[in-house]
Amino acid sequence: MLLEKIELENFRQFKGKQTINFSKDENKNITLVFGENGGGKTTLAQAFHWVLYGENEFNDKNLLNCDVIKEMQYNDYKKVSIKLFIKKKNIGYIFERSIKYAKKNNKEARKVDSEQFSVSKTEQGNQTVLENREAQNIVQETLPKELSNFFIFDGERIRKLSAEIDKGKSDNLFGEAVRGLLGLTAMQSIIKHLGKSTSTGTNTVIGRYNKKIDSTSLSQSKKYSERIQEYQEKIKKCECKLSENKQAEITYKKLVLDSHEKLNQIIPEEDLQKEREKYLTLASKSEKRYDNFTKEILSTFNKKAPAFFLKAITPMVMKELQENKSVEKSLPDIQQRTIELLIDRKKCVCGREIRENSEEYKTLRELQQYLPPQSIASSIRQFTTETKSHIKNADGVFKELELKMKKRATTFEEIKTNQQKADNISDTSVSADKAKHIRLQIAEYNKKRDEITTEQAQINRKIGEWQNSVKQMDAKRKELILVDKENQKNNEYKTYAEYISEKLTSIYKKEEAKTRETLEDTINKIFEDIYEGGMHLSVDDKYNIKVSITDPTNGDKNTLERSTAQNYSIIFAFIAGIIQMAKENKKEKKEDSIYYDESEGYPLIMDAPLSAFDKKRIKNICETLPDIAQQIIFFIKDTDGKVAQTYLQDRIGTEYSIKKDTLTTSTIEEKKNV
Amino acid sequence: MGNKTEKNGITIDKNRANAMIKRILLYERTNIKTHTFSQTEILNKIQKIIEGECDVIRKD
Repeated sequence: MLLEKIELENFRQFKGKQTINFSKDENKNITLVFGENGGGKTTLAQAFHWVLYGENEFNDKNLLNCDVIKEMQYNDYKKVSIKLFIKKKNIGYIFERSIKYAKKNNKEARKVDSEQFSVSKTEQGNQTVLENREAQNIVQETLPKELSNFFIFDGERIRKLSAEIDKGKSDNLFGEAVRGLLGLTAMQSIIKHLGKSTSTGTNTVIGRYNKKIDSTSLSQSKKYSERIQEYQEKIKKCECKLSENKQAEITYKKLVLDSHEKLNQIIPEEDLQKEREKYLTLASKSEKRYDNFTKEILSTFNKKAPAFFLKAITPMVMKELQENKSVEKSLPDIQQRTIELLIDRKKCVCGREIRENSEEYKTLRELQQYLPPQSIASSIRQFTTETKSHIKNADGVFKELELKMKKRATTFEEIKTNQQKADNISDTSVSADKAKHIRLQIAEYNKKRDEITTEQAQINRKIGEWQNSVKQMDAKRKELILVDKENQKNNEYKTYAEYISEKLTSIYKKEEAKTRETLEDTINKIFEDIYEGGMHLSVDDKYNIKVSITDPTNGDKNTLERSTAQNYSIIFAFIAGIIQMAKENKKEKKEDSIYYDESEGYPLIMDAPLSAFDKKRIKNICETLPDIAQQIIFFIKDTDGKVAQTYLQDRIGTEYSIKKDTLTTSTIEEKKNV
Repeated sequence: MGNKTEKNGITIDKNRANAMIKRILLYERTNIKTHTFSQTEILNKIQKIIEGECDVIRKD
């Protein structure tokens, strides 16, 4: 990349349009711009910051030339602009930034619009204006802002860097510069963005994958699979059972049908048998009745026949009994035991004493013979009564017996008739038993069929429930399988991310260590050229620079108290070192070139760089720098300039001087015959 | 196994890994220029290369 020219219009001290053409000659790569104090050297250095990044460090933020403001009429408009022309890979770019001012009172002009920035590209004679984003990209690609401190710097920046070196600790500015200029920034960035395998936050790629991976889903999915299999086996068993039951149901149905057929064949025989049984029952009943009649006849005879037969002698007996007085001699309602009690008491109920063998005693004993239970009188009285009754009953006995005998005879006829009818029907009781047996079998078969139907319904219900469960579990499993598939994918992605992160880290560490080592060697060489021998600069892993003195006798390196000139020399050596490395890096075709950013050669733009040095060091710097940087632009004060001019003579391509016209206006003039 | 390596039970295809590095580096370089960064972009690049949607360097 080469800076071609810069055009300034009404920018601070530079009234109207003023141009500096930079030297593009490889051998005479220095552009020297002289200027007295207050002439505008720092303004020129700042012009690069403003055109590229829209920033400046002026205390007075008014960019319009003061003389121009004075000349403006009320409400006049004037433009401040800077155009920077560069060439990169044979493509020309013009970076332009401008702003409009309007005069609002006698003393000052105010911005009337926001800053305008554009980049136009000229390729093979065709000029195009790039869109804003592309324009910003080109700036970053060409002269990255974060590195601007190293290729555009002034005394102020050198002082800041010097202070960092004094502290022994940089704010990582050097580190960033090294990585940026040597093309390692993207690699560092990718390592940071990929993260580590244990990252879980969402601000790294691996962290995001770790969050995406659901480690529990795999086992849950397996659990569902096992349960589904379990249910499916149950369903299968039940379906087998259903099939068996169905077969059994068909068998029982057939058996029932067969049984009914057999039964239908038996039914007529069964009806005849029923009729036969009816006659037999009638005969049996008649037999019972016949027996009853026989019993009644015998009973009637036994009961009434004696009276009948005694009827002739009864009057004689009754007469005899009337003549007997034993009935009169007895006492009613007195029993033998009563008399026995009185004799034992030896006293009668009337109070008379009863002694043994006395008259009273004998009378009582005699009375005892007519008293119950052995009282004859009582028996005779009873007999008489009964005999009278028998005689009375015996009157219709023959008629009664005759009637019963007739009934008995009729019943006997009935028995004979029914028995005859029954005998006329053949005995088919075997068929009846068979029918009964078949009916029992049918009932049994139907019972079995009912049981099977109930069981089938239960099994079907269970199958339905299990199938529902399987369906639900399968849906859940599918969701989990999706997660698992996603997990497997994410795990694969994550592993790749880890692999490339580790690979890049390893390359980066190796490369950075090598870079630091090379940088240390390079800056030591440059430092030796600029300053003096006997000192050693070391760069630690944080890019802190330490200076030590090398004792020629024992080679020990001791840290050294540094002067401003030394610090400046260190910065020169450091910046020159990384710019040189960037330049060499570009030339060198790296083995794994994809890992490195395509670094461009950078110009070195320095404002008052030599002020801190004595003539000897200025000479050293002037002899060293032109070989290191691709293009050098020095803004230098006239006193330093003369010394520089002497030592840089052969390397100066273009020379300008800033002529201070008024306090607020300067003119840039190109020096001829350089 | 020259182009393959094993990591966490996953076979890494080194060519694919290199393709990823190239694509992500390109993305990072653009990202450095524009000062933007998105994990999703990197995730997409890794995934696309593994899925075989692209395995060559192309400008985003």
